[in-house]
Amino acid sequence: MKTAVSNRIKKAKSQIAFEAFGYCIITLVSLFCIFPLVLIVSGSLTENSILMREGYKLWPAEFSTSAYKQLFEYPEGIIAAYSNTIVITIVGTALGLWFITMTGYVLQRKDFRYRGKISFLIYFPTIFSGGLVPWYMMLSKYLHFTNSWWARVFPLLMTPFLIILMRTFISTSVPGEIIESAKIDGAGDFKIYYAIVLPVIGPALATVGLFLALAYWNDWYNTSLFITKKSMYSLQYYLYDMLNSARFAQEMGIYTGDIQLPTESIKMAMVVVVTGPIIFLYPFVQRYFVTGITVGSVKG
Amino acid sequence: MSRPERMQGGAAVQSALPRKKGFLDELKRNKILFVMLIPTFVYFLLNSYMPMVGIYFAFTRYNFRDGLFGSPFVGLENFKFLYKSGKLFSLTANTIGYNVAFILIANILQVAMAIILSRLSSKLFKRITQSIIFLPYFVSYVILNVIVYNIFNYEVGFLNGLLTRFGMEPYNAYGEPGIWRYLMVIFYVWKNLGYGMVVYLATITGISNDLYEAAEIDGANVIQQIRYITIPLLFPTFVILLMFALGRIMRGQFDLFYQVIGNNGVLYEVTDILDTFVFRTLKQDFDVGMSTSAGLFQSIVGFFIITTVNALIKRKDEAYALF
Amino acid sequence: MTRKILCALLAIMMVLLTGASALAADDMSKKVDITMWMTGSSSPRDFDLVASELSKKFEQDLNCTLNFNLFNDSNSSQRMTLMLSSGEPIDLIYSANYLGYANFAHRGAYMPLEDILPEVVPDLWNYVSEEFWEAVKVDGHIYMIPCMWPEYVPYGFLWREDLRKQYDLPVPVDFETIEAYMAGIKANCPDMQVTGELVSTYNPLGTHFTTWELLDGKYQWADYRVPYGLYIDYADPTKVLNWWESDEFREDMKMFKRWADAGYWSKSALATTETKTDAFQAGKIACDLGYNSPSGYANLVATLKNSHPDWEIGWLPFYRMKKLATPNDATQNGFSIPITAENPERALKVLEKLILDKDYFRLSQYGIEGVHYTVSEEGFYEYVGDAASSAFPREGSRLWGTRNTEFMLYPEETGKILTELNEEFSHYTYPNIWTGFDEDYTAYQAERAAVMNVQTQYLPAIQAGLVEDVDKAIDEFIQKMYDAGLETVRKGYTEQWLAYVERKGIQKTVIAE
Repeated sequence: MKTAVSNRIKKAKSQIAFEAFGYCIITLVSLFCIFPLVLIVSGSLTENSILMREGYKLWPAEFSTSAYKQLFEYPEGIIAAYSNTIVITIVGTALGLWFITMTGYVLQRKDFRYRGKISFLIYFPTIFSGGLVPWYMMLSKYLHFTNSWWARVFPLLMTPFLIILMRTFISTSVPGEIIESAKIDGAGDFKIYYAIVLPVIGPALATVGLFLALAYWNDWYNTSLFITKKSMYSLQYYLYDMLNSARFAQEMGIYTGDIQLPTESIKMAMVVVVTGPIIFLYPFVQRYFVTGITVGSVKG
Repeated sequence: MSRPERMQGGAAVQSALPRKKGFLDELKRNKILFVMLIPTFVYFLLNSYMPMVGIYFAFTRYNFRDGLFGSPFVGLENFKFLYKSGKLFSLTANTIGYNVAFILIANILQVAMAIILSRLSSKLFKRITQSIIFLPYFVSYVILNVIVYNIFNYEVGFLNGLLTRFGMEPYNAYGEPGIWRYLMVIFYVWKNLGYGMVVYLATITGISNDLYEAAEIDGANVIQQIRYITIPLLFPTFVILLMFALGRIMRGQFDLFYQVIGNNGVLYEVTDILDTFVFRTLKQDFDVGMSTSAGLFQSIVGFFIITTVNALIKRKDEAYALF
Repeated sequence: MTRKILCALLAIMMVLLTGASALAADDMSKKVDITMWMTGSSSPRDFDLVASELSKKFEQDLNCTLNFNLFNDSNSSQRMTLMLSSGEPIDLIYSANYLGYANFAHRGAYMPLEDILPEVVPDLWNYVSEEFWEAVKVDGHIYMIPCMWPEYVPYGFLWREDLRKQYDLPVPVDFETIEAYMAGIKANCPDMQVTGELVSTYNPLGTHFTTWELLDGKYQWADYRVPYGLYIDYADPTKVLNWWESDEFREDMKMFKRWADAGYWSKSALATTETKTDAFQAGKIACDLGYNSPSGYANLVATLKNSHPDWEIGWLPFYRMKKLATPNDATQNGFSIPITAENPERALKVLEKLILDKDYFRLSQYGIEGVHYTVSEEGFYEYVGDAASSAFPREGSRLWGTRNTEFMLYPEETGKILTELNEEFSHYTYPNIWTGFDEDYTAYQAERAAVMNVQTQYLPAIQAGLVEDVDKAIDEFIQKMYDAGLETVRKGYTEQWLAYVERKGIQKTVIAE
């Protein structure tokens, strides 16, 4: 009796001490993470010539919203980039999740003979690749992805890591016996997938879905290779293009004529506009992490 | 998967099957499963395996007229620029060194953050800080470089502003290559802390509460619970993340190095990795053969490293081995 | 079984990868789509509108649609290689010496045009001068339709004239007065940085610090783009000299070190993320040691008139310092037809229209008349609205390769400055002996790559004066260069240059003082 009480007090004490320590550490780390972002926001709200001369401060040296005004003078480009990126992210994530869950399901089926070999074939491209040129040829010449939405959807549909993650999750959360007995009851392989497996893997869908969505949202590379129509630019590429046009002109000594290059504060305002709204996305996804997931090896 | 599963359900199902049949029988028996694999099969075929034919580029002097198989075969000529540079060893060492540092330090911090966060009771605090820690993941390295430059710039940088305010000498960070070794790791962690944390947090959420309750009754304090329950259960996740990271150990964080170091040759000695070196070499005159040969070199060394590590792990505990 | 499938796939892949298109006679009754690519990111807002207007016109006149694209230029060499090697349908692509025109031509990326040009587009064939056709030849073939707009592209010293007057500083005319000007700014304007020099990766010279551009005012070299630390004197191009190992080079570098120590540019200049233009227009820097071209200067004057009406600027083109001006290279701007083009003949006709037809030219260069620009009574270009907010600024399509003097329009001020400067240069213009020379480094590609890498790593710091001991730094740099294969590269280059000089019959010249 006595020991139980003292145990509980000890637990409470250690818990309190740990939490206090935890709050401090997490606060410090959050400050470290947010500090550069504060500089960006402050930079975007500083008059450009002051920004160039005095550098970035935590608080604008001379407050000005002119960068935002200039950005939103012609908002069509940003709006187009935003809307197509949202659509691409949703479509890509949905398709990717569908394919990845199917694959994960098949690869964890113990009565599927080639699951080990196929798992390895899926892992192998992590190490070996043919390089940029043949990959580009494949997508542009044979699949005609230039200026096609597919160029933005296809390359990010799945990754070996996410497939293995999904497979392990399904095999740990759906016992083999359930699948077996469903089979004996006459359920088809596909029915087992959508009626038995899919409903119980919510957290995995959230995690893998989040990673897929992030990849789509952050993608600028595929746009840079395959998309030339401004109306089809992804959001991050829209930003990237703006940032790099000036740098290129500078490095190559190219004369840009009457084409105005964006100023420093406009660039920063653009970063805020592109990145800012994301802060609302993550808490939304967070709610789905109710139960956890575990990851395993490639072998299956 | 691990051994126990294979012994239980798997063995039972397999023994009920007809013995040793070919691919076609399997295809007939599990045709729905095969159909369900079609999208993945097509994806990897088009996105990964068919382009692998292009590895042959590494051995040709590419010209546009003759294409892949028409261009003259030149053996190992394209690899010459790598070893001719006299830097191949230091570049490889830098690439691997940075990646090991990134993988280890980032993972340790991600695990630590995930554990601490999972133990805090204020939901609101957790939610806000998690989002903040995640936010840098959305900031590209181009932007990071603008910030880095404005912190370390000698004349009007943030750091020197602070130093001079406290009466100290300004610090010339861009003239001190040594410090960048640590800065690069800090930048990497800054950007990726939140991303990896999610996987660990998800795993921790999956740990049954019964385990902790039982431990509490046994009188284990928080540290002991973490030490004996959480960490061992996170270990498999750590290993698989590690193995996937190792598969790409020869591919550096190109964007980070290219954007932050840029054209500042003074820092190359400590910050040059294979990807930046190759990119710089080919920036003005991109050469298909040289580019592919560098990629092939990275693949082969990477393959060698991953198979070695995998064999070592396999010998220790097969369950953790990747393949 | 799996192996068999793999083999079959490989075989299919091989057939697909090696397939090449054949050249067939142009059948005008067949409607085709012409795809055209220019370099340049951040296209103007109305780019697609102008492109579709153009396409409509072409549909009527040439029975083809025009697919008009910009490719991102921050990594242009790789991007062009990808596009040209993938065999995607491209009919016209912008090409230029600084984008590696000769190198792409050597490697068979472009279609030789000398046989079809006179037949398919006789007007265009006659419009381009024989000298230019000769100068764009690579391995004896014409791979480019060069731009005929005569242009001088010298570097020059740009400065804030209002500050000079305010602090009574000397007018910059030579290195001494330039230095005095910088010293004066440093002393009088403590919150300004004197100049914003930075690292440039300009091709084919290789990576350098932009202080180097100032030396264009000192040396009468045949061209400022001679790489590998060589020096070719305009007066006697039959000799190739070793500049980096000369005493003069050391003196130059010590001068830069002196300037760096005086704080004329940032100690962090090698890492800067700011462009000189941006810094200059924001009033952060007072001068620029290597500001490029009369057009650039004329444009800047116009821009500043709007943003800083109280400023005055001055520009000292280095041609004036050395009394030696040469017109631009033939390969400065132009268009090529990829070897894989499906409709090369129609593409040439499209190009001919863009260059030689006034309506096509104006539409493609300046946008829609009345919407984007108007022509004043005196024949000057005028914005509808202003340049900064224009939906299609002047030359917004980046069609530098189709400029044609006859149809070109200038804003009044710009036109005036350009005319004045060109008139001045004409007094000491000498023939461009450089145009038509291209280095083929396929034979020493690996060594060249190594040498260029060493240069990138060591040279900019020396040129920026950001080394402790200039002599020691140069010694180390030269040593590393030799280790990387400098000798082989220089030998290869020198041989090609001398052969070129002999083939062209280039003689010694006397340059008037």
